[in-house]
Amino acid sequence: MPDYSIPVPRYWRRIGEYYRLEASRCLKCGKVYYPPRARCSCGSTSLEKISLLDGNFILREFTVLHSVPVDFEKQKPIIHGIVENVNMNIRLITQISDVLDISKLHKDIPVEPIFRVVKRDGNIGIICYGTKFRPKSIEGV
Amino acid sequence: MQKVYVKSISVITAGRHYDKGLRELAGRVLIDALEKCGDYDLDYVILASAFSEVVEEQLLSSSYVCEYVSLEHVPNIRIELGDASSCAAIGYAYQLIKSGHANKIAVVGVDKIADFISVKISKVLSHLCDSTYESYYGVTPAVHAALMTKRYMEKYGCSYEDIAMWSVKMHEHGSKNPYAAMRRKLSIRDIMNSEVVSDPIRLFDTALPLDGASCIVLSSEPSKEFKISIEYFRTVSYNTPITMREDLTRLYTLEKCRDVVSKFSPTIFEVCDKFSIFGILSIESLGLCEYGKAFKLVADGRFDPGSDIVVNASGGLKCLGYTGGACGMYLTAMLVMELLQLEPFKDVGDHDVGLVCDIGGSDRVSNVLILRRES
Repeated sequence: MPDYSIPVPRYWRRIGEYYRLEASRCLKCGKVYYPPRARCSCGSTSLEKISLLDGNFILREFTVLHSVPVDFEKQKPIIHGIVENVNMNIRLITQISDVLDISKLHKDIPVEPIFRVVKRDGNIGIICYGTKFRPKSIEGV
Repeated sequence: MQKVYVKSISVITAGRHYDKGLRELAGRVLIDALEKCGDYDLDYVILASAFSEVVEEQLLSSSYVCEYVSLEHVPNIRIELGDASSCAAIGYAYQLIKSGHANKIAVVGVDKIADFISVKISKVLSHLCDSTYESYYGVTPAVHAALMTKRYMEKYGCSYEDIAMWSVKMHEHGSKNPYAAMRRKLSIRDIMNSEVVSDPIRLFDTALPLDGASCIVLSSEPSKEFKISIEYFRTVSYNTPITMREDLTRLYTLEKCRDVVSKFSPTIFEVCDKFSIFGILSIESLGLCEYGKAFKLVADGRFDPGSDIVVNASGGLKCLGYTGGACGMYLTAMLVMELLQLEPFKDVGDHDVGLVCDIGGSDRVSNVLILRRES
């Protein structure tokens, strides 16, 4: 049996969300959802697809995960943070990357989205990419 | 409407049961509970399991468990609601009996998690998070708990040692409980010296993932030895990402059950403490104390056995072990024994009404059960 576990269609259909952080915005009340939704809490089913990549992001909270799932063993430890797009009032949980000295990382700093490898599916499976975030000012971090 | 009684219970101490598969574990508690009832007449078997297809690669697991114990014609259902499966299954059985649709149902909680090495267990548990948007990036329940813990510490100005006192207390409670997988008393130093899982949470501050099974038989007729009824059941959900909640230091699902606490006035509780922060927030969210006070009250012994309000006299999941979809069954079985003041719960005090709650994921769904000891 080939050594892979992620079916290609499952990855392919999420490329918009993984690469461009595609969210949904209600055309009636303007509320933004990530993960995207088919129906807004206001009751409207008219939602448009938007990208969250444009906007200013702030790191609101973070943790350093040492007990990682098996597909992240080589990246251990990994930093997970709650990042807020202050223009669209939406927060998401994501990986914080490009941090050389974790002790200098702190919350409420500006961060920016970057395109990175997320994981590799075994020896012959696909390489999964996605959007991570890094501190905007890398100096000292 | 029929009344619903606990007819019998059976518990296997959780552990690394490498010699038993899911059907052997479930079959053992099922046979034990039905032997205590004195007969094998059942209207349903309801199996609560969160990870059976992931860990044992088995669908229709309730049917194969029934086959294993030769209940060949008993209708069976498997309920999956993550780590809140068990209380949901008890609630479903409660509704079937109460409505007169059934008279006797065996509810079995079972999961096999310890077969895997730790990195694979982390992967299995990460399925409790949003697989597409969170687990894809390596998020696990420990990450959610760590973010909640950090926010709580910051908001109420407490240290991690203050939070970890929950684990110290649970190990005090669980040290005498033969059904607890972890019975050694712990000090704050032991916890702080254990490895970091997700900063600031450390290994000894988490409920250890283990194999386990527990069974409760519910019936419209009480047991001959005791009379414990299920008075009330409620499932509450909050289907919103953890990132979009106004406050990470509240369990919104349990807040919606405060009226249940007011109405039935339970004095003994078994709450879900898969991480210490969940135990602390459960106490606060159910309204047993003000927000930001639970960590101190727990450390001071305010909820110890013998107090007017007792929480997790069993040692909670911290000592019983984290058994996935079986967690709620363990907590419910412990509460039954506590209400009856059976060994090892003779010193919990005299309590008539108890509450048990389990939490699925990070406050995505909670089930609350009220149990009453009748004279």
